[in-house]
Amino acid sequence: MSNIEKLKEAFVEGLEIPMEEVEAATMESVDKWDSIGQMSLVAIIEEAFGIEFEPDEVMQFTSFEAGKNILKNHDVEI
Amino acid sequence: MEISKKNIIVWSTLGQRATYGQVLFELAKERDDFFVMSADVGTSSGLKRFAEELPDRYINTGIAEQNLVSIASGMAKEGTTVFVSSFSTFMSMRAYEQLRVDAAYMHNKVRAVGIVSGVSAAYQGNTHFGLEDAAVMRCIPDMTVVEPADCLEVFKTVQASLDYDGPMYIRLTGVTRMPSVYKQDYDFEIGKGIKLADGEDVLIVATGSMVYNCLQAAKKLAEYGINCSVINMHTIKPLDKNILLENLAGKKLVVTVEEHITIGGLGGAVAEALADVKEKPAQVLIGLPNEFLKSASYTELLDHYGLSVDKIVCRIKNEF
Repeated sequence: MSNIEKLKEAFVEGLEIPMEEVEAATMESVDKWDSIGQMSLVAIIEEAFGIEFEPDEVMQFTSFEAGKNILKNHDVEI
Repeated sequence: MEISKKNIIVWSTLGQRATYGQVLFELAKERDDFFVMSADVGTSSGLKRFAEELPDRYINTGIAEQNLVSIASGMAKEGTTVFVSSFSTFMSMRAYEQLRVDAAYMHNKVRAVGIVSGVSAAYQGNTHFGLEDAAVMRCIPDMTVVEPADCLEVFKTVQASLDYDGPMYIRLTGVTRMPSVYKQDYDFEIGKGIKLADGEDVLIVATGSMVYNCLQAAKKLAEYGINCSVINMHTIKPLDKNILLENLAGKKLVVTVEEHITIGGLGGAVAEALADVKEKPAQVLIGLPNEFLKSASYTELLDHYGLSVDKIVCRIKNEF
């Protein structure tokens, strides 16, 4: 599985949304992306990629696109 | 409700108080025999989803902890279980008389949940620290006092409390990204301590956030030739005296460790339980001092007051 697929799977699992909605997902557009959903998603992504979000990154993580950028910051090819 | 590796990781990342709200939300899908209330700290208690999706089973009383407990007690009198939450200092002391009379004296199934206990309020300081909440709750007749060791144990406690009689105080410690003591499901029973490590020299009895630190400390102490048993005493009242007696033989020291003042909490409970044992090792009480504390980050506070892994190791080495 590629890294982008792993990231999409994390969104499906963490926010319980269909795969086709993942790329457009933002904190505003997904009901379950509240503070609990945020930390759940962070936990699943950290486990999947073996990284740990910095506190600032948790705050900046408000969309799927932002998630991709954060992974790039951790040298994950995506 | 499923206890999966994913859930354990997610709960650990959320921390104890958000896990509390999340597991109540999940349990509510399976059981309709409980209600949830909060004194305007629903979000801080991880209850936002519960409040939004199950509004018929959730009541926010506003910042009115005394009303919170009295209303909950009245509802519990009708035969349901009611969970109420607030910051531990407000939960235990602002509503003390209501917990004593309306909940405990009337033997109602109220679960008073003290969030942000110990020093996890960090920079908010003494007004928000939960320093003596376990002590004052222990004094109330009939009140069970439970302090989960990690986020999975929050789930186990909440779940077990649904089928446990009488009033209960649940003390939640730690912050987000709380380390897991348990990596998989295990047997949990309110009132029964759990031995997590076995060593012949020192008996460490810990509760709440200190269980993980003590397990780490025991590993380091082993490198110095000091072998420790470690007991997770999640239930402070009623205290499991049997597990203490079963593990005293041959020990040079009993050490109690808690994120609470050393008066009246776990340390006091263990000292009282062992008072009539004639042949026993000395007890070292590790915990917070009975004074108003400094404000700092959670990690800094634990270290400053001797509750970090390294400080626990040093103290036990010095006392051994």
